[in-house]
Amino acid sequence: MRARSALLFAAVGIVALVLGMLLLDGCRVFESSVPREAARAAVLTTSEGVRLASDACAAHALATHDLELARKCARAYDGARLSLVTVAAGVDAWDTADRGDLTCAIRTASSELGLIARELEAKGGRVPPIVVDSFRLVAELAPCVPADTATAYPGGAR
Amino acid sequence: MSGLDVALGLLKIAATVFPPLAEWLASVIASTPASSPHASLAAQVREILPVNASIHAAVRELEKEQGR
Repeated sequence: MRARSALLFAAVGIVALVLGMLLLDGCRVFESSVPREAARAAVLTTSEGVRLASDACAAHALATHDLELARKCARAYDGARLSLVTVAAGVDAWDTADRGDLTCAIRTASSELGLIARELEAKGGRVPPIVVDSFRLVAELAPCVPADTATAYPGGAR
Repeated sequence: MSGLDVALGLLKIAATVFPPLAEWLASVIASTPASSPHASLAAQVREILPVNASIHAAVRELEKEQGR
């Protein structure tokens, strides 16, 4: 009886361990099936989103003489740019790149873009539609992303 | 002379000498990645997002304006 209980505990433990690993690694499981063209589209759309959102932020900051807003957008722009160049280099070297790193970098870029959008909207500026499109595209690419972007910019959630 | 000029020259010669060879050459050229900066996604991103963007110019202008 005791042996059967131990066996049952062991079986439950193994199943829990496997489920836990699958849950933690869910993003990576998805990443391996992401086609290169989808990654390329996400990088380009996010880049355009960052460019247009930062241009809108610059125009709004100048119009309202808001230096703090401009500084916040500039910092987010720099962070997003660095991440996007990293992901783009990974897409260029698709066969040898670590796709886990790529997802982390696109997540960072998306979060930085969310920051620009949130700051701009909070100060009464208009967020270009491509920003929301970019969040949705990145969410399709890596399902672990929306949690970050949706909190950074609520408009990014479906 | 660019790579495209060389390719077009080769195509012209091939088309006059042996038409099927021209077709084959055209397909090879079409499948070869372009040598423009857009062949690299990283270069494309750097072009879309320059180091000095309008937001940095706005920061500098506002700092000057506010004397910071």
